[in-house]
Amino acid sequence: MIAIAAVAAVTIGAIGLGVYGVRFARTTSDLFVASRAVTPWFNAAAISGEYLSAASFLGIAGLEMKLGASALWLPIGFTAGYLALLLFVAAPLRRLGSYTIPDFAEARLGARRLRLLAAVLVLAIGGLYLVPQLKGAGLTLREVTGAPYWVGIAVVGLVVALNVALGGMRGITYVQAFQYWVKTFAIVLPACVLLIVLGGLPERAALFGRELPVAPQGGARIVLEQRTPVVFPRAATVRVDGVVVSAGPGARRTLPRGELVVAAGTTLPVGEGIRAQTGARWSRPVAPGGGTASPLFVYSLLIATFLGTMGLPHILARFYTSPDGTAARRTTVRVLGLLGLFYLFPVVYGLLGRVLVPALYVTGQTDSVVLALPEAAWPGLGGELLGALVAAGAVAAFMSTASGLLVSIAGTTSFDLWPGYGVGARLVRFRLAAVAGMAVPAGVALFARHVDISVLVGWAFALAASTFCPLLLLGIWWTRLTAAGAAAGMATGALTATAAIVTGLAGGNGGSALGEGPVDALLAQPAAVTVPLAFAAMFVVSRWTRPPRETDAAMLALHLPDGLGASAMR
Amino acid sequence: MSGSEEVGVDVALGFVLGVVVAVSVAAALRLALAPRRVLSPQGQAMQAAVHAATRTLPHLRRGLTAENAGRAVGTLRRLLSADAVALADRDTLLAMSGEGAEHHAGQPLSTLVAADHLARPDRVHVEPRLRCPDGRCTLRTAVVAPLVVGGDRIGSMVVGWSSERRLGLEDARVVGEAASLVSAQLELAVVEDQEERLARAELRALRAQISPHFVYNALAAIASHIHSDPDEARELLTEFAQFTRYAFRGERPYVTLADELGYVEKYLRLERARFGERLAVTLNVAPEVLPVVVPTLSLQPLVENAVRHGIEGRPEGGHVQILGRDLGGDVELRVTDDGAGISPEAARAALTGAGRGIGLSNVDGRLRSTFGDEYGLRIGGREGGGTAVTMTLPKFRAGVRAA
Repeated sequence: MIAIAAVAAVTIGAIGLGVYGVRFARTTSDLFVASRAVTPWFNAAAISGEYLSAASFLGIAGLEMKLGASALWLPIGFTAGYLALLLFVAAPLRRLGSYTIPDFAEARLGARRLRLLAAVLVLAIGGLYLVPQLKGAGLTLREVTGAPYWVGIAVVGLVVALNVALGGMRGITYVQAFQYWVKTFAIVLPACVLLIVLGGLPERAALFGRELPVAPQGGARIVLEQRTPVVFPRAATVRVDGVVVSAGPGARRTLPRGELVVAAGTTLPVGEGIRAQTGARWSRPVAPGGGTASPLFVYSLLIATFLGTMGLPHILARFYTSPDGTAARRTTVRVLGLLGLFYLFPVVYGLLGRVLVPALYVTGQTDSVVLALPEAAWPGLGGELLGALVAAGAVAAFMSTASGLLVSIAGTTSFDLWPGYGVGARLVRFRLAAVAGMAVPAGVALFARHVDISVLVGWAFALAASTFCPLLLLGIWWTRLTAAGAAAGMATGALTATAAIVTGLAGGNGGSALGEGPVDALLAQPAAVTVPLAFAAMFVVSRWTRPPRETDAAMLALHLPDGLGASAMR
Repeated sequence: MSGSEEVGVDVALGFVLGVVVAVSVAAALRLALAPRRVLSPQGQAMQAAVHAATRTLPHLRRGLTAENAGRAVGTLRRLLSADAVALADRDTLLAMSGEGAEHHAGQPLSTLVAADHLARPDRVHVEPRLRCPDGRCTLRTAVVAPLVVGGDRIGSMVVGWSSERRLGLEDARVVGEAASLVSAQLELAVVEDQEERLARAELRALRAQISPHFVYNALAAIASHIHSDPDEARELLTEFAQFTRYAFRGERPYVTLADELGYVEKYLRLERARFGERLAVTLNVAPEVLPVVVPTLSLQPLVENAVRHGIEGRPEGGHVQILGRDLGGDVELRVTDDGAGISPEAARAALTGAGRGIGLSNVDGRLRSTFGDEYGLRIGGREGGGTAVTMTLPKFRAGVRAA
């Protein structure tokens, strides 16, 4: 009940801030314009607020619980992506003044057709990134209210789409900055309080020991909503609705619907797609062999996140608000700090979840560990309050990210793919596109229920890294880039990355249930191959063709330091 | 969920994703690549030639120089199926393609054709027997057509053949037409140049326009403060100095909205010194739109108009609002006053430059010429009296930067 109230409060608050807050954030009757520019701290908080999605809030802890320490490469990559942005992209792009990636492509390469290709990719990346946000919404609302999975998707999808369509989510730097602090507070406070209540990390064995996850003290009672195939890592006897199920080590069983009861200390069966790991193996960040801890997969994931962040359409648009290149750079440094602070805490939930809510290993829904943990760790009002807080934070997470993505999708549609003539016509199309742009990912999210949130996000990053990263890096730093080269590189990256992901899916590796071979790792996270391919295609085709006439002017605009131009004459 | 079901969902998900991405990429390529071929072979050749011409000839829109001419001569030669084509200004062969190009290009035009045939702007000259001092030159006959801009002959197009065939009226006519195609492009170059000069002249005109009325009032207001409040007077004078510096500073066509608003702020400080409490101003601009690039002196005339029509002549004073809204890819700026309002006819007149309003038509014209006709000014009455002037512009336009 408290949790429902908290979720409702955050939802209404976000809409209210979107509609009224904009007014309060910008209204004054005095005239000091200079002091109204968005400061780097505010813009950094806004960027972080828009960036910290369901993948960060729920997904990292869930994947950590499921896979172990190797999942922690994900937040490292998510943060390090801003280092790449800081070093190579932020300041030049701000100096050019472009608002979207299609803007950049046209201004730098002077080809209107390239806009179109870039716009299609914005849609693909934005759509792919929306799916896990909606999945997070479905999970959270189910966890909080007990409603079916699709209800959360429908409700949050509708709220975000209407809010964006009615203009509540545009130009909301201060609202997004506020959202960052909501999310950080919602993840930091429960983590700290739970550690205090529990007196530190319980059963250090869970972290460094050799044990498999076992039912906690008092036994485990787990409601199975459907027939659940499981594997018993050790011999065990459990009961489902009073019916006894015995299994030897390594045995596969399909448990019927009902309440599963496991006695305290008994090794838990694990759901399909999960490998029961001993503490020692679970806590290794990289392990030889295949799977998600293999060096190949880890490097591929790091490449995808390190180079993919710069290609996220909703993030680049935020940099437009920085007054100049220097401010853009300052902003990025602050983003690194703010994200670093946030990402310290999901780890705690994964660690505690392994010990305190091992039931999730049975159902396979480890993505809900952040939501389930507080009440499991601290039964009573305290846990309920903390649970309400994390639920509210999770809603804030996917509301803000989904809104930012949808604004990008609708904006690109109404400017490039289905352009309206005149400001009014574009507004109408923006609204229609906002609703349609939410419908497709929502449909996919219904099917993607068993794919981990962070895995879905990893694909969005892989696509961004294989397409926009070469465009931005070569576009900013290489004078010989041509429009044909850029198009070839982006098409190569998009097609190979998509092909790999689809092949992997068709081959039945729905995320983390990964085969052992290097090919499996690359199909699950193709960036290590597709990014070099895209760069190579862009390079080779560019050598064949002539750079556009605009090159010199665009390069000057990108690299002439602030203050050499007119601002020096101020 | 059983195992086989789950694999089924995997495949379904993969299939949906794959189809969506593949269809989008295919659609983009389809749109990006050339249209389908429905023409006959001759038609295709013709289309290819015209296509090549429309692609290369616009180079000449940048003026008749050796570089631009060099880009066009090859296409012209293919278009005319001649052995050589050269473009020349009044006395030099700027660029040549085909036979003899290596020894003629860059030479005086008189090495190819006698100078007395090159004066008249309306005459196509046929040269049946070319005499080139270089014995290896294979060019035998040529047609020389004038390139005419604004009634003056500014150069020539020379089309040569190696064979000794007789040149007919037909050849002269075709070459003449090709030359007028080139002339049209060159004429555009002049027009574009003039448009640019016009835009700069308009900015200058606007700068000159602001001053007299306002300068007089501002100085009078400052004078009235000198004894009663010298500090204030000194501050106002400083503002006035900065104001004039912005207004008259070099030819900077574009600035950021933040800069323009800073200028509006100084302007309003000076007006406040004059009107005191009678002038109430609300600035309500989303911080996200401050970096947008606007034409210099585009918002200030709107504000000045609002002050004139909303405050002057009204003892009770008035309220001027400056609103800035973020519309995603576009930006909307609106200046409102609560004065007497404006009739639709007067609004139209103001935008065409006929009616009241300082520089509104000038601002509208500059917005349209910079960002296209979908952007510009709109003037309307407000409910309960008053006038609202709305300016729309895009957040980014390639090539338009704050200098």
